[in-house]
Amino acid sequence: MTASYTVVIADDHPTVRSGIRADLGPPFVVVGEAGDADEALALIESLTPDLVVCDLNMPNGGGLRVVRETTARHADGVRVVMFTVSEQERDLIDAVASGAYGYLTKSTPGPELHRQLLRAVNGDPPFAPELATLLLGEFRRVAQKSTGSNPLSDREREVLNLVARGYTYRQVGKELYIAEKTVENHVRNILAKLHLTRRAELVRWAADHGIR
Amino acid sequence: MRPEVQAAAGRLRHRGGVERGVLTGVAALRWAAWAWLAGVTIVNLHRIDHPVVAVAAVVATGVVTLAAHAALRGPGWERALRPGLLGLEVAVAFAVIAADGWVRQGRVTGQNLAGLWPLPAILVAAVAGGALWGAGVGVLFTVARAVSAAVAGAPAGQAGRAAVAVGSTAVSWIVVGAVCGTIVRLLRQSQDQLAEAEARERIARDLHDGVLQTLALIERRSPSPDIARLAREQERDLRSYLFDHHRATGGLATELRTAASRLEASWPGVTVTVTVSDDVPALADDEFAAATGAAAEALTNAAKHGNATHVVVFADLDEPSGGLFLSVKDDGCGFDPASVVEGVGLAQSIRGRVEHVGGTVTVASAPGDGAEVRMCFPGARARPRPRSRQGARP
Repeated sequence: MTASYTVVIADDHPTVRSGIRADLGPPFVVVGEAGDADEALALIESLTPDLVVCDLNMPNGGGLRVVRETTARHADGVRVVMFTVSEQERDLIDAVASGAYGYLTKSTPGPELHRQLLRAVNGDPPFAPELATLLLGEFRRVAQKSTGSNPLSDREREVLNLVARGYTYRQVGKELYIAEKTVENHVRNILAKLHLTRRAELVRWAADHGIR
Repeated sequence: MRPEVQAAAGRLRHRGGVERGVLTGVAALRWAAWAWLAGVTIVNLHRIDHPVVAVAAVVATGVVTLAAHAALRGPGWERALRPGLLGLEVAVAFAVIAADGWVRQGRVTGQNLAGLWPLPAILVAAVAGGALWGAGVGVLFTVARAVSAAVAGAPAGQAGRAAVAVGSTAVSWIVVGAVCGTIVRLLRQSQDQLAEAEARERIARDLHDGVLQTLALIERRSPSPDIARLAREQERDLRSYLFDHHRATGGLATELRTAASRLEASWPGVTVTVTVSDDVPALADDEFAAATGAAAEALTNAAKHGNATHVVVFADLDEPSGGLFLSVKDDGCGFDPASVVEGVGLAQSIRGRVEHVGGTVTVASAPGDGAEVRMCFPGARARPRPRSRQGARP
């Protein structure tokens, strides 16, 4: 028997949910659909799916809350992929910083969506150029604001820059003379650093505001 | 106003921000006026006809001052505008003003027993009920002054002077009441308008989010490529309108998206992703034209010669130089840059344009692995030019 992957779809638009369901097909098995963050979290708790395809703007706390609570409880066990129209919003960075496994735009064509989600369950975060562009700016701001030095290594910045320009991981590897696996590791490290800088920022913010 | 806008505006409006601010100022004024009133009265107590009544006036005004102050504290501050408290303040002020004629403090000190203390009551009335109430309380206090003057009786030959004194105080009180009421009304109106505009924008964003979702869905699901392309075009326009007009990069992002839509319209089966970072530098006018023109040409090349299905246009700050980095990368068939002579499109339209404004172009490609046109522009700051283009749309 070939491996199959369980998926929960969370989106407040039923038509969007049925659209995703139609695109998924084997090896994905859609085990549940949720219309808001509460429903999504309840389904995730009872079903522990491999993957959650989650809208950013939803009632009762949105995708951000789903990501936060899911990663807090399941870490990498349940991978939440953001599926959004608002690729330019800071919410997206917040979601990724809170542990979203990756993100895809809602205009991603069906077959591409299927392919990217397959990559996600195999440990390769879907990471579109739009997100890479956002992160380049985000790390630049972190560097200006606090430490004065960019938290990313030169190599990581090169990787991010190439992904933003539309290079596939294979092409990034070829361009930088490194293995594709190494590129994937760099991407994972970049996401981990985003997570860390965000947490440091939060801690600093809390200290500044007298919260302990 | 549509009901949902009204509801949202109501929630957003910092309820009574204007009123509370004015009342807080008035409370301070009331304390100052009371301190003056009490000081003048106590210092002159031995020269006054009815010192007990004067002391009673000081105590009564003090109690009202304290009550008005207390009413303003805490979350239920609207009680400071309640008719009961306002009525009490007006009544006490009226009594103290009128009593002066009998207590005869005015004769001794040249100042009415009430002093400036009635003024806050006029202002509160103006805040609570508008210009008419403010002026009305001013009229009421004028009557009190007249009563006081009549009871005191003017010394022989000075009746005219006394009447002028009453008249000028009356005019200033009535004017202050009317003006304060008008100002508060105007402030309140502009505050309402701001709240309404903000509410409209929020609702528009929510609605647009739904429209964007629907367009994205049509793009993904429509069996007709024409309809899918139309939806994509509309999505892009709406997105430019929603997200770009607040951003400094609006002009460049919008222009690159327009070029992308144009390509998708003439080459079915090609999709273009445009990402522009928030950090792109300001460009001189000719650089802006060269950058967008060259990007459009590179897009056409990718579709026409590269057989691409997906193209990524990327614009960002070029960190070492502080200029603009702009790339157009496709997933097409690619070519060997060493053996292929640059086509007319690349040579003239891209290299010509870019180098003319001081930029550089490199092309990276390999057979079977797509192609990327990389461009660097110096940016407006690199050249001593008076005019720069950043957010402006063409």
